[in-house]
Amino acid sequence: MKISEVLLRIEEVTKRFGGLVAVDKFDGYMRTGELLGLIGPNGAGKTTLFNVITGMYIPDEGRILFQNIDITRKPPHEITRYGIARTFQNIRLFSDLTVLENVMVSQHLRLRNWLWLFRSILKTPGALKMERQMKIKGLKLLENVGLSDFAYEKASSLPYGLQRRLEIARALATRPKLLLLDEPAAGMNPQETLELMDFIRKIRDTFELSILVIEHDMKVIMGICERIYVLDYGKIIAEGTPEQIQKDPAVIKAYLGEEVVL
Amino acid sequence: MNVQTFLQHFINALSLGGIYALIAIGYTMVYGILRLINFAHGDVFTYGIYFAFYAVVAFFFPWWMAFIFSIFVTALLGAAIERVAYRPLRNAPRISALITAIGVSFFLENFAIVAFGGRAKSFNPQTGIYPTTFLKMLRFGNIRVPLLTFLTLGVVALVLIILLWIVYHTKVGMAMRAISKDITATRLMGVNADRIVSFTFMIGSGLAAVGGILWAMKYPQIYPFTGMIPGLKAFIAAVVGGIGSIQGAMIGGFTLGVAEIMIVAFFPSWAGYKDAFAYAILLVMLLFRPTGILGVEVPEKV
Amino acid sequence: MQRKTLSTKTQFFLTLFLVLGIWFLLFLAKNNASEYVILILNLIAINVIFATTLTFINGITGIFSLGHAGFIAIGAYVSSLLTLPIEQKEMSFLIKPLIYPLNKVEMSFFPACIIAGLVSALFGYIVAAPSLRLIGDYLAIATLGLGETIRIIANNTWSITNGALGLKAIPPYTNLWWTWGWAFVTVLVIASLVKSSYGRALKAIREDSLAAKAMGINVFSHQVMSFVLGSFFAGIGGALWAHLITTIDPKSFMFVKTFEILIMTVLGGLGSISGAIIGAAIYTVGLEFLRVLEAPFSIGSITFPGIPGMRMVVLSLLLILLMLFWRRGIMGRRELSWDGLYNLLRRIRFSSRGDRA
Repeated sequence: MKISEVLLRIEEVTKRFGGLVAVDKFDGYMRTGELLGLIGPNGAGKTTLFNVITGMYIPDEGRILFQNIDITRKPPHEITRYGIARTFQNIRLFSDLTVLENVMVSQHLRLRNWLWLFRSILKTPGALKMERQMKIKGLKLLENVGLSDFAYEKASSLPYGLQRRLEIARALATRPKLLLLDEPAAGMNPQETLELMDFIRKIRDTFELSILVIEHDMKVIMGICERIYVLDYGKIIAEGTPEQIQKDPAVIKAYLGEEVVL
Repeated sequence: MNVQTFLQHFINALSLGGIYALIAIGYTMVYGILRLINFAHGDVFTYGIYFAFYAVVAFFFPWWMAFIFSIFVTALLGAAIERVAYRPLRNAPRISALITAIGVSFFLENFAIVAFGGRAKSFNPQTGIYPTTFLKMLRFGNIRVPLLTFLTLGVVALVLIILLWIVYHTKVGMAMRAISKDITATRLMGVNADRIVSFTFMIGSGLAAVGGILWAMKYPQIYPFTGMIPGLKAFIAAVVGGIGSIQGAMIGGFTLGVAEIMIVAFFPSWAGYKDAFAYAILLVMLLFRPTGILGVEVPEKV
Repeated sequence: MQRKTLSTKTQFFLTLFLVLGIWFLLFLAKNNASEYVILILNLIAINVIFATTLTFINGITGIFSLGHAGFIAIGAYVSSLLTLPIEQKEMSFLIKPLIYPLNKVEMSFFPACIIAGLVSALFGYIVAAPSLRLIGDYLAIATLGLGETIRIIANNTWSITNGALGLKAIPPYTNLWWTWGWAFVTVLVIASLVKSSYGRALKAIREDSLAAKAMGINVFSHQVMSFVLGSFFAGIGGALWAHLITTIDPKSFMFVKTFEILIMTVLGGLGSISGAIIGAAIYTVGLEFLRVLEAPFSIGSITFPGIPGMRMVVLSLLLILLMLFWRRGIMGRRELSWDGLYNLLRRIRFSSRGDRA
């Protein structure tokens, strides 16, 4: 897989909420196959940037280009169809549905026109075949992420760590090219965190993804990311490899305050 | 139409708006603290009227005593409803509480049919409910306005002033405002949230009783469903003004009252649709400014 | 104990036998039962249609709509205006004559029902777009207002609906075949939809519409679809109802109607189609039993005087108690299925065998 072309281009994006500037002229890019990190103190604008990319918010200024297509003003479900999927900081699973149903829902976007509605009601051979395929693909995905045993359990009954994994699996089921992970390691102990890091690397290779990660856990970010953007008060204050970022004075100041000596 | 007719209609409209405002405040306060649409509020309004009626007719209270009695008993009714039907569902999904509120509303309406009879009762001086002087027509030049209208306006103004004083200049009021922002945090501050919620219901229901009595003096035929339509309109008024905001409820109430009377004044052929105006205004509001005139936008955290 | 699934072929034949069984019972009823029983059976079927559509929109898709009575009203009026004989229309429309072309039209039941459903669906479509922008409580109030507005319009457009006078002498076309036939179709279509990818999508929208959007689902268009489909069948239910009771006027479609359907659905379990069916059946029959309360009745030597209006008091109390103590209703969100029944029987057999050992 060529780690070269620019997959995502964020051009001078600004997002304001009343008087507050959540994202301030963010200008950046992501290459195909990259594992990119986005860090910054709480309230720096990281999740807001995710929301802008995925269409939940429309930026006040700037553009977002995905595979050279302008997706700035497109609605969230269309952006997902273009190939961008995300997880949420607070897990937003479909609680009352089973684990398998959660990953099958993500495949619904394959039914591109309303003809499928009639086929589904009438249970035509085509519709039955599609349903079978969705189930098979869903089960296979669950196997890939290690959740097969829980396929028929309600999503809300899973322990926290597995719920986080299901969040990711559900996003993967939309067959994205770009995956946005919002604090995937939140609430995990060191062992789980290590497993998560392996997991992220593995899915990047298995599913040929590009991944953008928001994280507070520095071990995760420094451990898996090839490049990192650092945000503070909505502005980029640093960009570079993990080694570069760790030594950057602006970053240290933002996280720890001015008085800390290197 | 000439100036006199306009003024006549307008004063009438203000008094109707005032009554809507009183009821709307009850809705908005409850929604503010519990995020619940108290469907039963319109029926509490109806019961306020019935309590006043029976206080005179069955207990032979003089009118002023009957009215005060009604306000207190209705307040207790409101608190009782909260205690029995809403408090157990405080942590349940909102839809459940909404359905329960609908159930309480229907219960009150049908219980009224059984207890008070479905036939209309007359709430007017002929039955001795209140002095005839209230109906006296006052004249200002060519304008004729019943004394009642001014009384209504006066009572509404007085009540609103007292209410605003309570909400903004007492500890209880501060607790109410705090709960509407964050009930858990308020509890952690040592406030007995349950008691404040009860108090809020009592105030709202008391106001509804005042509004009910004023209404019944204006439209003397009362029956179990009297409160349904004004109740719905008052809720719409609360939404239009900005649900959760007391001043919003006042503005909304007056707006709706004025709209209702003035539109029919200018377009008499639309009289049959006057109940639909409120819904039309509601729809327009919800489409263009769902938080209402004074409402505060609370963006969903993604 | 392992959960076993029955083969599709077995399930198909079981369903076929069930349908034939019901058909046979209806046949028996038609020829032998009293008019009262037949009326009740008709009402059950019509209420099944109402409850299923409400649970579909409210319970499965999560759109808390309180305007159901409005769509029922549209179906009732449209179908009746189409089937009423022309002379009857001339006689009934005293205040203002009925507009063209309705005053020259007189058609048979089936096309009138279909058109009624379509008009209702059209209104559902028009209404959906603005309403669905709202959430939760606001949506409930807006749809309530819409339902009421439809009723007020019906009350005032004398040249179309005959205003407050309403329509009478509607041809009594409704019979057991029509009601149960349509009930079957409604349940079949909605159940088939719910058991497909669309059903999962609708439930996902119910659970978390934001996440559903993020998973590529066009939430708005799916909500509209649900609304339109639900109002289509609700309209047909309204048509059936109008031709059963043969007289309709705006007062028949007050919020009480939506409230009754709400009780049925909540009783059976909001979000379950089997629940809606069960709820509708229990409610319809129960309501008749409660009628007893309103007429004088005696237990032994004690005579209780009848109290008019007690029925609704009991019903509203029932709803409150349901919400306080049994919010999930009979089925909750689960559905009856042949698999479920089969496994239940196996468990019972298994446990009785265990006792003997």
